[in-house]
Amino acid sequence: MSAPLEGQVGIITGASGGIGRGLALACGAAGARTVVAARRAVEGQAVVAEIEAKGGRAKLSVCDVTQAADVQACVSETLARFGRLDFLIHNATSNRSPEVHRLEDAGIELWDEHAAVSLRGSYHCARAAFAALKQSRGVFLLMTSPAGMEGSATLPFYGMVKAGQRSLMKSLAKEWGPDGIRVNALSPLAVTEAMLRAYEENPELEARLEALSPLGYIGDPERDIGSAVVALLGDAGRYITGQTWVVDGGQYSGL
Amino acid sequence: MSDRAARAYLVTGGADGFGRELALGLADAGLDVAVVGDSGREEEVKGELEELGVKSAAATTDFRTREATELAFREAVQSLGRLDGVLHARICPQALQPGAFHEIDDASFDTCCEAEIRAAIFTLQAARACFSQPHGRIVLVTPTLALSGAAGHAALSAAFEAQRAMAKSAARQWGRSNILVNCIAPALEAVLPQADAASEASAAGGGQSLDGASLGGRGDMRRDIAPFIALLARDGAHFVTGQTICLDGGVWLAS
Repeated sequence: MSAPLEGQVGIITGASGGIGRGLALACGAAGARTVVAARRAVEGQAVVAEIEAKGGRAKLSVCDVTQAADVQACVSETLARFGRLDFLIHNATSNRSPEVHRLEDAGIELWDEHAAVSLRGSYHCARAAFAALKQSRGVFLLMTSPAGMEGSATLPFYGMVKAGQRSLMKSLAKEWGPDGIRVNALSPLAVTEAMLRAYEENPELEARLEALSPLGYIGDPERDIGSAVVALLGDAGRYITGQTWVVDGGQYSGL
Repeated sequence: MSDRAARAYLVTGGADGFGRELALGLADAGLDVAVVGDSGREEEVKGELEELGVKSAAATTDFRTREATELAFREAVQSLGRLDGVLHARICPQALQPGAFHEIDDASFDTCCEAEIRAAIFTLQAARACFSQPHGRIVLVTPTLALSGAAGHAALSAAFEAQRAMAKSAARQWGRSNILVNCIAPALEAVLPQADAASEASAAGGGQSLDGASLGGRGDMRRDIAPFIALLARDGAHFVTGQTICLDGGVWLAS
């Protein structure tokens, strides 16, 4: 039995750490030739090495999604190296995403940091990848969050860009559907490096978060989130477009 | 009328198109209305409002900065004498022009998406700063496009959905200050210029056709939509916040 993404080629932005790294590892293990797109070259190359160590094929593309030229170059390099593009996952978010703020006080420069990576980044990715995804009848996947669906008392700007990406996804699913391109969103919950640091500072946090999960644990980026993404990207997901997959062990049930 | 009812509203974009219709509709309901925008017709509409027997004011801003927006709000409030509510009905006409997402340029993306969101952020911040009482009502016009998405309007759909998330976050952050923040969602066709609305309606699909409207038609802003916004201004609506109310005659029936 062949691997579920055998023959596919995909780009994952923000793949040098956290959930992006998990998605890259899962896609690589599922047979996809995987482009790790990230600003941090050393960390990104380490993810490439992990994929290759398990027998997969991968390459690093140093890429800042706020820069259209970087994203275009990433797509061009991918086509030059692997000859096709079957999926692009825009996972990168601003480094200032966790910065707590109040709407009445927040400066527009903080908003612009969020918008540059998530909204403008989505625009750059969509524009750069459209032709190649049309040719492969591929998938454009955007990452969203409960904050984008129910707002946030602590991170309003983060919720706004995640909401914007979700509606963008719905529009593009309709616009690109006739070209055979599927467009979806995924709302994950997984243990990241930032969460592990928070656990160290607050030893009770892990148990408290796990208690909120119907399945009793916080997901693993590769095994729990990556496996869902592989299913969505593969043939099993061929009729799914315009949808938001909430992959969080049942924690968010507002859809 | 209790102290919690809103008596004086500021309408952004209230001097042109559907915003003017909403401003007139609020005056029909007996509310004092200030119009703030950059259409060049603000003083003219102020006169129309006064003919309806309410107090009115006008001020000009292009919503490009927080400072300019707040300055215009303060000028309008000074003339009006008080401010209890803000209706954000300003949509840049250029943002309503459809276009294939992978073909739009950077300037168009900014016009259709990011500039719309920045204007909404500045409006919320100015509203918060200018309310006369320790309470207030804010309503944002976010057409059902935000919920459904639509081919040709991807960037604008993202902008509207981001504003819905902002309203939810503002409702969470400002609820204890008795500032209520809600969205109303008319059909997209209701905010388009008349001629564009007709062609958009005929091209609409996927359950969004106005032919399928339960109550028929795109709705009259002054007679069908404004009275509901006036209801949200009343004391009886003091427990409604963070919500989106679809006012499209039953086209969008999803939860």
